[in-house]
Amino acid sequence: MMKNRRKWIPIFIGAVILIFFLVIALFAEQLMPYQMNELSAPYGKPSAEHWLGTNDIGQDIFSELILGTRVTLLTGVMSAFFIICIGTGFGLVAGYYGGKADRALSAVTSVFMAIPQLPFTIVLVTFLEPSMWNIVVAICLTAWTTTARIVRAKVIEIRQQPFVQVEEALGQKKRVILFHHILPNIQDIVLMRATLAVSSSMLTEASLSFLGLGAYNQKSWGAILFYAFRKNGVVAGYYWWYVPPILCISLCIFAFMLIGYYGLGSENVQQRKEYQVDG
Amino acid sequence: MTKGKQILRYLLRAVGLILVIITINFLLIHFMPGDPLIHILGEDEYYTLSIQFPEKLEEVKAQYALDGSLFLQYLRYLYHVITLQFGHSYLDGTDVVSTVLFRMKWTLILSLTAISLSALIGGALGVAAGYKKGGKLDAVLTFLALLLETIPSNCLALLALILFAYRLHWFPIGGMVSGGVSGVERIGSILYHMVLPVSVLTLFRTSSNFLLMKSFVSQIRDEEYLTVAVTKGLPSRKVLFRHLLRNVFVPYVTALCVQFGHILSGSMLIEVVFSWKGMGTLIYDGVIGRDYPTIQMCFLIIAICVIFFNFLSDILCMLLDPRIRDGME
Amino acid sequence: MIEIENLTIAFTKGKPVVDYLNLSVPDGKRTIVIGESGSGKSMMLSAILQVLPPDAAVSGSIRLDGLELLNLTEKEMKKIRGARLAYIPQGSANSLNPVLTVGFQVAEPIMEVRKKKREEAIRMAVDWMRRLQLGNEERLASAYPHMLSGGMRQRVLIAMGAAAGAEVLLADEPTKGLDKERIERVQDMLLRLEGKTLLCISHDLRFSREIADYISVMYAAEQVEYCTKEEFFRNPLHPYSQMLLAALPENGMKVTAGFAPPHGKDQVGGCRFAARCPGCTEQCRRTAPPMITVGKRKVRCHRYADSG
Repeated sequence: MMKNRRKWIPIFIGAVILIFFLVIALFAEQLMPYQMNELSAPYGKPSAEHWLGTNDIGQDIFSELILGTRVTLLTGVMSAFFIICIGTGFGLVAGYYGGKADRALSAVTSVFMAIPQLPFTIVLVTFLEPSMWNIVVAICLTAWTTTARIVRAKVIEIRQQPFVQVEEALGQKKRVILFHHILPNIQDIVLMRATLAVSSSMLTEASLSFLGLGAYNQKSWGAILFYAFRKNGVVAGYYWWYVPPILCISLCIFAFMLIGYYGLGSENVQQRKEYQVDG
Repeated sequence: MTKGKQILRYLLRAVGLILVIITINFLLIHFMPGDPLIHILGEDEYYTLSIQFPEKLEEVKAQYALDGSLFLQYLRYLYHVITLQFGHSYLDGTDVVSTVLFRMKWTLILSLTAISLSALIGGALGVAAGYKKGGKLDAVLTFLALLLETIPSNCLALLALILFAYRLHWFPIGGMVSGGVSGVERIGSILYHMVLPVSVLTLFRTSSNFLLMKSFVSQIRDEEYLTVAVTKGLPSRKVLFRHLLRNVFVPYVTALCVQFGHILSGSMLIEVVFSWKGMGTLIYDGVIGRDYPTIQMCFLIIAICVIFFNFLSDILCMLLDPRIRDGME
Repeated sequence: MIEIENLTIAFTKGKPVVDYLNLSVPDGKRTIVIGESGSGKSMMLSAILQVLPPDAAVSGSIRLDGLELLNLTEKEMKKIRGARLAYIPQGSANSLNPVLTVGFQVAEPIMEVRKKKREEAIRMAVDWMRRLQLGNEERLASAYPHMLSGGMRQRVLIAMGAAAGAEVLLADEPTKGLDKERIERVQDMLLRLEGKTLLCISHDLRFSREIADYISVMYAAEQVEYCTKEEFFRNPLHPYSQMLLAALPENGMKVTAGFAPPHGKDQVGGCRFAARCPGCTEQCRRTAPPMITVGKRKVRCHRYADSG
């Protein structure tokens, strides 16, 4: 009981933070005090009118931040969704069918694993036009591999178990076994991978937009930071410009980590590093 | 399987992967929206040429081997890559290869220092925490390491820059060396400029090395042979160094080797923040200026580096671990 | 001579894994402790060697030639391990360090206890293995553990445990997972270690019959019978011992009840075996039987209350 309650505390805290950001993202238009096309004097300090001041072209930074919540979360969640779909699909098929399918899929996985992720993503986004969807595509292309490997290993483990063996001996269709017996048994892992995929995708997105690869018209938190850095907000010491996006990114990733790592499972520390952007 | 055959297999895989990467690069240029020449020449020059001197554009096309069948183009592209012809940067017209090699040196100075420092510190802390898993040291360090993972490295770098360089004036605000110094003074100046970026890089790498080493140690700590070693009457020191660390050594070294593969790309964001003129800033400038030749070569070199060190780690693992040495996976 | 008195081992959670165990292991004899997995046998060996996990609570007394082991500091214990008490682990795949050669690992206790240099110790280890007739000793010494078969691994472990000349050997199921022929080789080897005191845990009755001098039967964390091998196989007293023997193939494999010790509540107060005992009485369910001495033997059963 005690242990159970302890397990729920981090999940609860994480969930509260996430719901907070989710509400902001959903009702961004209503919550924004200014629209992005309402311009005031540039480089304004925090004041009663502009709580977090204004940026280099006079947009309200607080409104920018609220709108950035939507872009950042959407990028993270969409990327995670595709990462999990591709990764789980590959893992299920490779792990359950084995043989040629497994060898072919594993070869594809190892090719994608050998590609240096951040540089590849950068090249891809550079060639594509910078937009949120292209960032999602670029992140997904390389980030699904770890999930595929983990799911594959788990499926192979489950396949050996008596209840699956019995179903097989009874001549049950493979598709039915896959979806009715194996999938329900890996849902914990998939759920954990999903939360971690969201946070790692958000980290990658932050890095990409910090390098100026974000979409022009949809500024994420990372993009706000990019402009603060690029337009000398950092040099001039405008902390109200660069500190809030950093705090938001960290807080949001922290929330996902609370749920994914402390809450859902902490078995393997290394496995969490799906898309670690070091340096 | 003999040792030689095994090495050959790893080598073939590495060469195959490099080919795949080169092919991806080729396909990227050819199947991205727009004329591939746009990506080679840059938008401005392309449109100027196509409007004013269409015949010159055809010449350039031939020069960059963009005429003929796709397969022929691919072969020529392969030839260019192997002979290190990456053309000129269209930002400043310099030879891409020499620029990249020059920038690589500065990145290596930064990354090598950070990787070596963090390998030692992270490893040592990981052993200490893993050996007494669940202890105070473990709890504190693990918490700090996980906390560090919630902060993007460029954000922490920015905060460090603002605090230590702009506010406290302890360290320079960027760059690699002060002007007008030479000899020992120059080395001192480089070291001084390195302090902040290396610290931030080391911090992040140490945290991941720590978690890695900790999980290795705590796995092996529960192995039966460690208890057996104790029952032989060995002092704890010998149990730790001879039995535990020897077994941790192989996976840790191979993991470090894989890390070395990211030596060129791993410091990218930090370089940008501290305006360290290495490969990271080169890519950054290239991205902003859409300097495709430079970005392409950087990506190829980075990818080859990663694949090479993965190959090396496989070989190392084979030579160090008797189980894999005999072809037993 | 090892004397164990009222040994109780418990972990922070759950009931004791060893409960008031009394056992004496006479010098120069082979004593086999028989019992199912989970009856706390391995924990008993760990307690003697003092390598229990840190969250285990131990009480009672373990004396080696009169020396109380439970009072020793870790430093003093290190001088006893290997030198006077040797451990022969189960031959599972990870009992040997995978990255060290067999020769070095067998030599390790020699280096540590007799303070020999590495080369000399390895030479001595090879000689020692030759004396125990492991076969092909030089090649064996330079091999790595993963190259060994299960049977060879077990014999290497026996050689390794006894290498430094300890008088008391503690072996943990040395025949587990081996086939008949390999078990015989292990038997031969243990018999070749004539004169050593052996405390061996096993659930292999045939093997026990071959090598044991004394038999101790454990059931659900406590000792239920102690006697010589001859007496045990001729006339087992405790109903559990009788069941074990009846289950042997030559006795018709009569398995009267399941073999795992019962879980949980049914043993509070009464005899732990009551639920599975064919001759269970009201008294058995109410009160736990004490250890009763019957001649030179000991048995924990109400049936023999009057024979003491």
